[in-house]
Amino acid sequence: MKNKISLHNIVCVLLLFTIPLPAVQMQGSAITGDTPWKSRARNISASITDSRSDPSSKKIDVCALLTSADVESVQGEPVQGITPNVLPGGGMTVTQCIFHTPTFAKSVSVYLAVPDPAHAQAITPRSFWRKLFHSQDSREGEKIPVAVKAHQRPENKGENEEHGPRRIHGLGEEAFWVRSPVMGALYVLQGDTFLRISIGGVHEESLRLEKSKTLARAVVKRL
Amino acid sequence: MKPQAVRLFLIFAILPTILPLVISFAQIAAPPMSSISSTSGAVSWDFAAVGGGTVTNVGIQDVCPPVMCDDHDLTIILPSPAAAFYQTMTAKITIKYTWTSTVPTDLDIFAISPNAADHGPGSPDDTSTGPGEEDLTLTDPIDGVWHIRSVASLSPVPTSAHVVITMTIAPRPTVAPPPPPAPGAPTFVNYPAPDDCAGTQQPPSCIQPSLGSTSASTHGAGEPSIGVDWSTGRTFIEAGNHTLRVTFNDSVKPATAFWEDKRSPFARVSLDPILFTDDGHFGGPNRTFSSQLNGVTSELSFTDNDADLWFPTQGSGQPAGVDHQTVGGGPYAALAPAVRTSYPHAIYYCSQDIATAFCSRSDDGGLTFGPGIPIYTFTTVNGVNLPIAPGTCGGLHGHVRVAPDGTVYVPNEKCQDANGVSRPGVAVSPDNGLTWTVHTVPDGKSVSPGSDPSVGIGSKNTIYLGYVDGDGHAKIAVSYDRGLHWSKSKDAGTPFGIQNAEFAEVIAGDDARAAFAFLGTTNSGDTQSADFLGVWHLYVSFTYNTGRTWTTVDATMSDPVQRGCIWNQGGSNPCRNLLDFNDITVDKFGRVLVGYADGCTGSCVNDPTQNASGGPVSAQDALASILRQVGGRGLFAAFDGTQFGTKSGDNEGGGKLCYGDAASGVSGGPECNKHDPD
Repeated sequence: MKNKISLHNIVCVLLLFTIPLPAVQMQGSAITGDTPWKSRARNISASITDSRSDPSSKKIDVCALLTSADVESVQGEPVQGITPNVLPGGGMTVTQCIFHTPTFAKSVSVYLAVPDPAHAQAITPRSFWRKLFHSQDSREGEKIPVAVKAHQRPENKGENEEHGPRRIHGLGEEAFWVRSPVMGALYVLQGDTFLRISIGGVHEESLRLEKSKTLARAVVKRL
Repeated sequence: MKPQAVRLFLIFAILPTILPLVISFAQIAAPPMSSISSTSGAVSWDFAAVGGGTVTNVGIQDVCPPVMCDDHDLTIILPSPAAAFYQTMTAKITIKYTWTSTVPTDLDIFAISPNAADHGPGSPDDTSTGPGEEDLTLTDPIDGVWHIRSVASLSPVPTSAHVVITMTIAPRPTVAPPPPPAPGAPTFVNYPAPDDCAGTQQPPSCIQPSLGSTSASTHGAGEPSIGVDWSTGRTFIEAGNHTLRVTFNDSVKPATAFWEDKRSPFARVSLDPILFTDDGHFGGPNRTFSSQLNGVTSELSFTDNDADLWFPTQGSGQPAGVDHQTVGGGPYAALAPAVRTSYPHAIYYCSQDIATAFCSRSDDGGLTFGPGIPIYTFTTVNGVNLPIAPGTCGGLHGHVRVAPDGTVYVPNEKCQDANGVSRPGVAVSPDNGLTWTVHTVPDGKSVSPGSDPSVGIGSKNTIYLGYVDGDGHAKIAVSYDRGLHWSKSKDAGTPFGIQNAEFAEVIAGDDARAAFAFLGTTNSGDTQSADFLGVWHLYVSFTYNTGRTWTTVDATMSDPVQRGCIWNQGGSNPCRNLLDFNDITVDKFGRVLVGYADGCTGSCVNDPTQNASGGPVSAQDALASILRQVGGRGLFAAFDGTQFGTKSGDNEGGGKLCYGDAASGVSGGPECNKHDPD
């Protein structure tokens, strides 16, 4: 348990958690018991299953997910070279590709997480996604990104929680824009795969986002 | 029905029924009690099942509501009252707290002292399925009634726990006084920032706040960063949203310091301030960057004329709620990009987003940055960012550094080795930030909660990784092959008997020379506890032989940097005055400069009753301070014996290793009179 915060919040927390067990137990019964929650859980599960592709049946070359024309149309420069790389993924297969443009700042990074057939029981991209963007929903109904909690700072340092991931509609099954001072990253969930796109060289955040969305659509089409 | 709606329904429908029961239970049920002494033997009991949880610590253990928390009162009996007993004796309470669960569960054990100081949540503070365990040790606990509490952090199913408590006492070890600084050993002068000018007062006895500021905020200098313009010698220390420029006058002895508030106009309300000077160390043009985050915008600006004029860069926009950025730079690795500007170095901005830590490279001196390239993926468990697999690290990282050969390093205190063990390590990029690999220090263990490690790089690419080890000690390891292999870690605090350290900061010069600064205390025990009584000093350890031996000096011998706890778990805490780190650099003569926040000023310096947890404000300060080396050998052999280039003829340089090998505890001897070969 980390990040002790001021005691004045305890009253509120107590109100929320004085009865956590009934709530938890009801949620548990949604999965194991015969309650109305059960059918809803099954429906969600079915829709997830339906949208999944067979991970073992195809290999995705992350460097083939964008063409030079895609990048040039957005960044104004063609792709001059690519750098593929594999990252440890803890049961996911995580690959990334850097699409270099002549001006490096205009390059594009694509990061792709797909299920690892060799670790079927391990974390999947979809479960990882849930943890990233939805783990708070079921507990508190608040839109606080999980990682923010790990990094809570004193109030006098001015951090607030209003600038977490921003939901982007109409892209993949679900998409979030994670803002960053110098470039930002667009996360997109599609089936049991998620991708992260980051572009460089753009000052204005809204433009960064639009360009990232354009590229993400091109990637999703090829997934 | 959405979970939130369910929660509200439950609150309003059931709370009126349950609350009276809860209140009456809390009022009626006195907690069970036990007592322990050095002769009683072990004490054990079973806690009642607890469930639910807040994941983030909101202080539930202090209130201990039924269902989420179970209390047991333990009377600690000492042979004589604590104040007298601990003069000559020491005591240790060991709490072994175990449970078994069928679903991922995190239970915490807290011990709350008679004066309401929290100890906990135990270690390793993780989530487990099946057998779970947290251990907690109390060093020199005061006598009286302690509340020992089992608390659900995340317990979907009510879970009971068992605890076994033992108490041992022993004569207090006699700590030999540290050896006096030997002739030629590194020596320092401390330069605290002056207060704001008031009334008719004029600099240099005070500091004039910059235009638009009511204060230079010299007392709000937690987590400062430091840089030196090698061409002018001016030094910068940045904390909060103020960049302080210090001009040293070395024509007098000791040198005097002139402080000015030269904050960037692009720096507003600040979070995670970072200053980086791309100095002449590896051929940089002395451009200084100021990076500021806050809840609304982020600004990265730079200056080429010692902060008289600042320019904004691409790093201006809305940040994510999560960050922890670092800015660094240095030469390009082989196969440097074909298209570059006249700016000679690559500049890196590294940070974290929601699932990855990433670095972005600028080829035009920080004006524009490339894409954010993930350097590892992390996951978040119970609000803590953790490595996701071998070869990955947790979310927070130390400062990016670039080697002369262009290799980029991002240190991290929590990386997973091939066996899944969490150790300090570095993310390494040999190709200008395009691909990254994580390497760990094989004999290091992550400390939880910990502070960032630091990497320094010598002129021939030897890397020095300073870190706080799992035992709290200040350790440093050396690698000649970009982190693939490491020397055995050395305990730089050994000569002073340092038991706990914080804020490791490393800088290197010549390949064989490096300096390692850290806050250290001889007190063992829980540094996060409000009743921790450690007295902290700033130590600097030097090597002149590639880490084979280290010379450690107490650079603030007569002036503690902090009394009491140093909180490094985020959030608000009285002991969080120093925030997350210090910084270290070297000037062109090889002298070491440490930028730090002094948490104990004024009356605190000589008043052992003051403590960061309880105040007064003099014990909770964060005064911008610079420790500047004035004697002993520096980090560049070319200036040995010249008193750092002044050519004054005195021979304060040429220091010897009079403190011997820190790792083996040798504290001087015949070798002291011999020049140690580089």
